[in-house]
Amino acid sequence: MIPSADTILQLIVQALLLGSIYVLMAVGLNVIYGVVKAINWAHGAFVMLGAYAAYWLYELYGISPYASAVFSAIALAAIGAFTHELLMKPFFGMRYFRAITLVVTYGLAILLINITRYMWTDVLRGVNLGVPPATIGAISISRPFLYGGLVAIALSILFYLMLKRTQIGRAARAVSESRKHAMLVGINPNVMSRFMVISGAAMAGVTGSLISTIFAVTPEMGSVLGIKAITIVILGGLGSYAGALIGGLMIGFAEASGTYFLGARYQPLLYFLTLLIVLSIKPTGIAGEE
Amino acid sequence: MSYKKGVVKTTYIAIIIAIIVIAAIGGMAYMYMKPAPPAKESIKVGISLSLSGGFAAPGQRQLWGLTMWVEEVNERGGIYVAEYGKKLKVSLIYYDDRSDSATATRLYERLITEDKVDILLGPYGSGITLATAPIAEKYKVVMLSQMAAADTIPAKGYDYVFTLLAVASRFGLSRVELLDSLSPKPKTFALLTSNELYPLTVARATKTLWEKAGYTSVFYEEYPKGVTDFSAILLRAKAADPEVFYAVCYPADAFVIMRQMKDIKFAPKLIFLDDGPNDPKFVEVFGKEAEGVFTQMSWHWELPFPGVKEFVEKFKARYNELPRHWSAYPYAAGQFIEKAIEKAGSLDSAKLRAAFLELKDVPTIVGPVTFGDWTNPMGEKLKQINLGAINFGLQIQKGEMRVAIPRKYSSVDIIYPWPGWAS
Amino acid sequence: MALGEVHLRIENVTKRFGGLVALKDVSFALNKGELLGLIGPNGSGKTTLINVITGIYRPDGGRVLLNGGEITGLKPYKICRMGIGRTYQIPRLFSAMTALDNVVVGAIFGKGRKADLGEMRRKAAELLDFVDFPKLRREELAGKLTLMESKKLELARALATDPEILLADEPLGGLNPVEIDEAVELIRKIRDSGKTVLIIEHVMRAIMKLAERIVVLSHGAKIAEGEPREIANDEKVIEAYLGERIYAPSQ
Ligand SMILES: Nc1ncnc2c1ncn2[C@@H]1O[C@H](COP(=O)(O)OP(=O)(O)OP(=O)(O)O)[C@@H](O)[C@H]1O
Ligand SMILES: [Mg+2]
Repeated sequence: MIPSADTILQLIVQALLLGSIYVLMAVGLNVIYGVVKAINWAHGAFVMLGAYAAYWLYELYGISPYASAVFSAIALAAIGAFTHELLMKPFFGMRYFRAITLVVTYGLAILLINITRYMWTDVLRGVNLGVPPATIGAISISRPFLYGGLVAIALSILFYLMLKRTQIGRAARAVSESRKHAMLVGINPNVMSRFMVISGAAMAGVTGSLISTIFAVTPEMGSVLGIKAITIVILGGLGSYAGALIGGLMIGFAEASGTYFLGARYQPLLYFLTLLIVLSIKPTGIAGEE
Repeated sequence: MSYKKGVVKTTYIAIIIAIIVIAAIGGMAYMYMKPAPPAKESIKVGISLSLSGGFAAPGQRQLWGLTMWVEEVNERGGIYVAEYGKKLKVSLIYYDDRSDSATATRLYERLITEDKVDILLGPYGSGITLATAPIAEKYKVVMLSQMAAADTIPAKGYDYVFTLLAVASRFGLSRVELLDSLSPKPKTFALLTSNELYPLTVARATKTLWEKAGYTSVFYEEYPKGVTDFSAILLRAKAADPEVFYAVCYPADAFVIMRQMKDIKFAPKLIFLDDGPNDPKFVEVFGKEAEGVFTQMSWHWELPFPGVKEFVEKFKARYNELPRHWSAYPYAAGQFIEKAIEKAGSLDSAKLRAAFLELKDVPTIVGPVTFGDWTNPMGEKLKQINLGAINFGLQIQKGEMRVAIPRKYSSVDIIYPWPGWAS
Repeated sequence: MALGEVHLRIENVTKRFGGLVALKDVSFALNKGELLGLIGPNGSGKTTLINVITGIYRPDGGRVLLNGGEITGLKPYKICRMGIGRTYQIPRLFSAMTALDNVVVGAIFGKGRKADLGEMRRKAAELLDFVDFPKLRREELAGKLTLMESKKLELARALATDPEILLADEPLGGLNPVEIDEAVELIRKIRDSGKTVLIIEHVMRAIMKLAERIVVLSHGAKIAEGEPREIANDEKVIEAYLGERIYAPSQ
């Protein structure tokens, strides 16, 4: 079946929006990886908590997820601070730090997902803003998706500029290159890594708020999105900003077009193949450093 | 120091040996002293329930349904067993398996060998049932499963296991009736299903039956776990332009599917979402747009079977909520067991099993029950399933879930075609 | 503080790596405004000593005093903010950042830190000029610079933290004779700007000309301390260098 030009255009827009959400999620994860040099496996669980926060605030007080994103960000920032102080910092400088962090944050993810499941069960939840889709020519796009994608891209760019232009951004980059050398120019690397883990977690919170208006809110999304985020950053290059951007959009496109042309059942395979091909050509990821 | 350590170690070992010896002697003495079993005083019905863990919510409701039956039957003085020449009361022996198959397996073993139950009821869910059914088979004790819909269990061909709930492959029967009862009859359908075992069985059976009935599949897709975004899938379904759209999905997926169908303005004449719209939350969230959407349930509180009204009233008064199939099926299992024991006139497993198979159209609150063998649309032979079991097609009308299929149990007209998205 | 007062004091510092004693009871003082040379054969413990002073390593024994106050075992960023800057034997720059940003980072968080980013950038640019870093290469990524450029950049970055004391680990290493002369000039200029400088070198021609006083390490122990001329003729020093020819100034 050959799709019409309109369908293709619709598909491209959908892929872009999906990709944008993935970009924000991956940027958050990479921000943490950048300074800590370890993968935060609980990132997906953080996104899930952000989504639940948005859901409950909408459900109980009618607060729009776009407004409550600030709250999600703050709540997750607190969890990020806790994660940094208790689950990362004690292991800094240890020989198997990366592996330890991976395992510890994996444990955290399972814990958070199960607590959520216990407290709020697997029951169907989600924010239905009930806004009609936006129609542009022949294509029809979900408004929450459109807003979510735009906010995600804007936030990603904003954070990128923050890293490039501000003092804290420079210090963070210095720490991400070398904790030791950063210390020798007067930077306290713990302050920087705390700041970045908090930022990354807050971004996860915002991602969750946006997603709550687009997808369903379930405890499961914690693990599903977590794995997606990790796939994206490995694909794009660990710790690389450009990598999160390219990887996020690439997975967005692979997912949308693969699902459309090959079928949904090949989605896991498609992820795996994309990763395999990219990594066999460039083991450090698309934009990763050698 | 090492000398001291050695002494401590020796003492330690000596104590342990002493404990083991005492325990062994005590155990033996207990066994010899145990009196001969007394004359039969009650009918022991055993079950392992998921009262904690992941299935705690439905597991608790399963116990509620059972409790209601046990109380009622004992108020009537119990069940008459010809072998003993009198009515025997029912005693329910149950344990919590914490939603865990391995625990449940041990519990069934215990129910049989230690509690010496006369008959078993199945646990919650296909997973635990699949794990525990072999125990019943091994000891040749009848197990009446009420909460497992997987075809794989009756497909094993056990002699002592009976399946009361409608198995997944039978869902297709009411789906066929649904399309057949529409006018004008649709010609094409699109089917989207989760690729996990249970939804897949439902979907494949339905597809086979629909095609056999002359409906054309224009889109068929199995989606794996972990799909969060359905827009590309739906875009393709829309391009196939089906009249009927049926998704065998989980509630969270139904939620996204519904929302994204609207986003891309995919408006077939009929929408059927297996799970999701049967949660009151769905109507709350989608409001008017949920109107006319179809879904399913294994049982419904407004069904016209004898005893349903009384059961619902009593249940509501006692537990403050509407009963669902989690409670209705265990209650119905009790109703059936009552008839089977009376018919067998004995608590002997072989005789009970024979009675299970001889009884026809036993009236229960889930409809008339008859056990027999059936070949499912995929050609698998299923043993001892309830041939009367129905999976009900429901339609949301004025914000309520109403029984639509089978038509003979329905009191409403079907809304068709679906009115479409509010603009 | 007056010139000639003790600025940094190393007191009985010992540092072990497993069985290896990298520093053995080392004591000496660095006076305010002085340009002190620290020399010794390969593996004699010079870099280790700098690492102990800057807080990278905690010594197994002894103390480090800055202006009379103990700084032993403080975190490196604290020591940096107290006014000790350093450069590496092989320049260690933030290679994914531009040359200018490398200096800005030092300016922001070092001893002279200020909130105003614009001012920091101006200061960084001035320092780059001070070390004679080519203007056209300011926006180049640090990872792409030549060795000489990297050394200059690292000096500028260290200076950006406003150190009172600069510890320079083999700033002349790997440079050609023309570059060495330029670097020697630069170090003099830094000292003349009022900083106390400790310079490590194990090739001695330049240090003999540059340093006012020299401390010699061998196998982790201080074996001599004095003016370049004294050092050049010291028996123990000659022995430590295994007959290497030692150049004294004006020879
Ligand atoms: N982190 C470390 N772990 C183990 N041994 C070390 C460590 N750092 C230095 N050493 C050892 O300590 C000794 C002194 O090393 P150091 O680098 O201080 O010497 P150096 O005087 O700077 O030599 P060079 O002139 O080659 O730079 C060497 O034997 C070295 O191998
Ligand atoms: Mg050295």
